[in-house]
Formats: sequence, structure tokens, C-alpha cells
Amino acid sequence: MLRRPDFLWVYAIVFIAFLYGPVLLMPLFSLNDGNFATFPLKGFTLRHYSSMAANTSMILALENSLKIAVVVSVVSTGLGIPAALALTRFRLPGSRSIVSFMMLPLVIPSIVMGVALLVIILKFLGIQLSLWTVAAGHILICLPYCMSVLMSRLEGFDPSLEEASRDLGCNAWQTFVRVTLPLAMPGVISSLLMGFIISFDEFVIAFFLTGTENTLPVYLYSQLRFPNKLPGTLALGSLILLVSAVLVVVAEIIRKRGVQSGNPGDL
Amino acid sequence: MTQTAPIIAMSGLVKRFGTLTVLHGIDFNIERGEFFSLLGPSGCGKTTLLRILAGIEQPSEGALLIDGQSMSGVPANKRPTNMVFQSYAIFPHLNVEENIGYGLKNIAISRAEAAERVAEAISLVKLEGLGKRNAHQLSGGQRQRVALARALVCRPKVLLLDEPLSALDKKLREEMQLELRALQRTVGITFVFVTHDQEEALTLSDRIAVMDRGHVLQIDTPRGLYERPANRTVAEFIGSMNLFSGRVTRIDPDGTVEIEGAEGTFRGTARSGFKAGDAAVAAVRPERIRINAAAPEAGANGVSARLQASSYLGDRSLHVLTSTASGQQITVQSGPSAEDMPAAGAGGLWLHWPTDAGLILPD
Repeated sequence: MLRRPDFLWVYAIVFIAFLYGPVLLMPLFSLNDGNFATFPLKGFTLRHYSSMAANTSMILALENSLKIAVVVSVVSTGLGIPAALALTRFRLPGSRSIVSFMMLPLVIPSIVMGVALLVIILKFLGIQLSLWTVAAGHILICLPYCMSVLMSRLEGFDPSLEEASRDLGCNAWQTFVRVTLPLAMPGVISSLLMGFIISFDEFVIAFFLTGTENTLPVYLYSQLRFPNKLPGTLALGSLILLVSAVLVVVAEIIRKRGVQSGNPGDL
Repeated sequence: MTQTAPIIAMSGLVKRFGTLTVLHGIDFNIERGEFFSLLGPSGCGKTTLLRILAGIEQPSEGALLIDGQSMSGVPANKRPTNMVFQSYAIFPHLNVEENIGYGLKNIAISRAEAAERVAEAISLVKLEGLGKRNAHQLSGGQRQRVALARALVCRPKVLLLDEPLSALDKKLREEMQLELRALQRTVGITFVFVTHDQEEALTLSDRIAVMDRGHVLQIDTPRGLYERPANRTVAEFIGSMNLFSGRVTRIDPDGTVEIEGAEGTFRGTARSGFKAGDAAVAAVRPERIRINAAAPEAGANGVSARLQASSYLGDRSLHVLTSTASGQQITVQSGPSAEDMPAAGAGGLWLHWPTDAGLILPD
């Protein structure tokens, strides 16, 4: 066995501290009994968390964000399934360029996207800004993520499973319901979670496209102007961090388990 | 339709994938209740033909009748055929019973009758007690049985099998061959079986179509293919065959043809018409050749050869020789006893075979 050099351990620890240290400061200060995010810490308290319950505008923003996230994850997964099926099942002319084209929102800076969407919605479509316009913008950026999760699931599929279903008397729709969808389910669930989390955390597009109502990240940002609200904001941020982390881990576990249980075709 | 009409009639079936033509005008019939095999090397179009029968692929040209009905525009789910896939395509999210009963949900029968038919199919393929197992808990042989039962439970008029035994080990494969043959006799359904394994095709089939590069070369019984191959490709594909090329020098009225080549003059029976000067090969099976010390009498088949190696296989021995004239390799099969073995190191051996053991085939 080759001994791993010690300095690599040091490097790894420094790397992780650098990545997650700042993030972990947020829950730390949110539990601090003081109004300023500075050391030394003054003592442990949960009052920043308990005061959140009374903050109606924050709760309203949370509700808005949840509503948008649910709509976005369902719609982008719903749109992603037929698109992913078409791209993995048929030899379409130019399907590679279609895939690259659909993945484009991943690399367009969201501020550019936000401005562009704002101009289109206000100047060309003449639609009032609302939570719906935020949702539409979020669907646009979530679709590529949902598509890639779904496509990777559908690609690992033995095509003869669907052929066998047709051969045994099912039409295309019955085959989709009885074979394709159940086997793609891990992909569908992780696509739903992915869409939810991306929409829930998104700030830039929501900031541009929202009307009078706030989403949670936009609300959070607006609170930073008031120094005495900072610990409350930190508490809220910590909660979002926790929920996001849990969702991402769950999505990944489901995806991994799906990979293990099949290659459905190899069974 | 009378009962004697063929169950499958193909005429002029052509299949093209883009610019590649994989089937060039397939015309033949498959009879009711037959065990029919499509045999050929990979890429010969046999699986494509099977998928056209199933309705998974559509022919580019030509007509297909199953039980007297035109299959043009009839999708896979409306055809009286069911298929056993090479990968078995067992649904991984369903257990054995649910897999077998899958197709019955599309037929208007009661729940009770469906359950009865599933149970019947399970006992037919000897999977009793495994009904609640999941697909990934089954061995290769068991999965193969599930795939068979799942197709048979729908009571198709034709069962299509795409190399169903190729994933099994040798011993299991031989067991399954016998079982498959017995099963076909029990259910009396027409089986169309695709394989690249000539031994498997010979063991199982009533009739075999030998295919190569999108053409059907010969359709015959196993005995017919082995004893009277229509051409060189079939002769080489079925069993092993020694071939000596030459040109036709004489044609007797009784069908005996003589050719002359580098290894000598050979006489044999011919199936197709020849004229003098045609390129032809003399073909002879390894087990029809005798090894001798002396040259044959004038006019009889004989090749002068040198022994390279002998191997003892228990029930028989195999000898590899090279022709003195051209160095061509010749395989001879003899009995296992020492008397059948030619003297080791002997230089001038002669290989003899009777005229009726030799076949003259177009080259």
C-alpha cells in the first residue's frame, strides 16, 4: 500500500473549512444572544427563531415561495418527461444540438436572463409582474436540471422492456403508465425535488420578475437594510439552509438507489 | 382459411435502415405447429425478420400474412404473436406472477380466469412456488422461464423467440433445449426461433432457414441441410466440411459430377445444374473420409496428405492433415480405437471417400 502524503489531509481540511466555514457562521450567529453578527458571542438563545413566528410578512413570503416552488417543480418535471422521452427514445435529427440548446439556461448569467425576461414580459407581452411571472422564469431555469436528471434515468433503460409491453398487448399510453413511468420514478422524484429547491432558493430572477409580493429570498434581501433585523434574517437563512440540504440529500439518495436497483434492463 | 394454410406467409419482405439494406426480399412460408428456426451469423438479418413478424419493426417493402390476415398497419399489440426477448425483458418492478399476468390485463377475461391461467403457465414452465419472487431474485434460467410463460399465457398463434438460450451456460442450455422442444409439442403453437448456434437449430427444429447477409440461402429439415447443403456457405455453416475447389470436367446422366482442381479429381453428387468449366467445390464431411496407406483405385476420390495432429476425444478421434499438393488443411473424424489411428509420422497417407459421400456445390 502506498502511504498517502500528510499534506493532502491538511489541504483537504483547509479546503472544506474555506467552503463551508462562512456558511456555518450563519447558524452560529443566529443562535447568538445579541443584535450584531460579531465575536465574541454573548450567549445562547432561540429568540430569533421564536420571533419569526410573529413576523407575518415573512410568513407570507415563505408561503409565496412554497407555492411557486411546488408549481415550478411539477410543471418543469411534467414538461421534462415527454422531452426526455423523445430525446432518449427516438433517433431525432439534430437531437444533440437540441440537448445542448435546452441546457443553455445553465450557462446564461441569471442577471442577463432576469433583465431579458423583464423586458419581454413588460414591453412585449404587456403582462403584469406577479408571482406567476416569477414561476414562469423559474420554470425556464429549472427545465435543464429536470431534463438532465430524467434523461440519465431513461437512458439506462433496456428498450426491449417497452417493446415487450407493446408485444403483450399494451398501446403506447398503457406502456408509458405500466412500464416507463414506474421505472423512471426515481428520476421523476429527484427531478421534482431538484425543481423545488432551485426555485425556492432562487433570488435574481425572482427579484426582477416579482410584483408587489415577495418570495422568501427577496424578502431576506430586503431585510438586510435594517441592522436590528439581522439576527432574525440569519435565523431564517439557517432554516432555509437546513431544509435545502435535507432535500438535496434526499434527492441524491433516491437517485443513487435508483441507479443501484437498475439499470432496469440488466435485471 | 383451411387448417393446412401456412400460419405465416412472407412475400418480398425488404427492410432498409437508411441506406443499409438488411433484408433483400424474403419469401417463404412457415407451417402451422412447426418449430421453425432462423439460423445465421450475427448481422444476417434474422433478428430483424423476427421483429418484423412481431410488429416491432415495419418492413420497407413486401407483404406479411399471419393466419391469413395481412399484418400491414397492424401494431405489435394487435398481433397474434408474442415474443421471448434475448434479454428476457422481465419487468423489474413486478414480481413473477405480475410479469406473467402482464398481457392478460389487456384481454377481456375475469380476474379469476386470469389467475388460473397464470397458475397454469407457472406450472407449465416449472416455476411453482416462485410466484411472489422479484425479478432480481431469479437465476438466468428462471428468468428465461418467466419470459416464456409470460408470452405463452397470452395464447399466441405464433411464439417468437430471439436467441433465448444464448445467455445460459452450456449445461443449462442443453437442458432448456430439450424442455423447449417438449413444451412446443405440448402447447402445439408454432415456434419461430432465432439462433446463431447451428447445433441448437439442428437439435430443436422441424425446419431451418439459413440466412446470410439479408438473404435466405436454404430452407430445409436439419437432415436435409446437413446432407444436402445448397451451396458453399450453408455447407460451411452447418457442421464442419472439407472443401476442394476446381472446375467441372464431366457430368454424368445420373447426376454425378466430376471436378478437377489442385488436389486432384473428385466425383460427387450435385443438386444444381452444372456445365463443363463451371467453378465448383467438392465437399466432404470429416466423418465420411477414411485414412489409408495406399492410393485409391483409379476413378475413386482420394487426396494425398500428411498428418499434422490427432486428438482423442473419447467417443471419436479428430485428425488434422495437410494436402501434399497445396498444403490445404483437411479434417478427418475416425473411431476412437487405435486401429482407426493412422501410423504416426507416416508421410504418404491417402484420404478416401466414396462418390456418394462427396457433394459438388457451386463455388
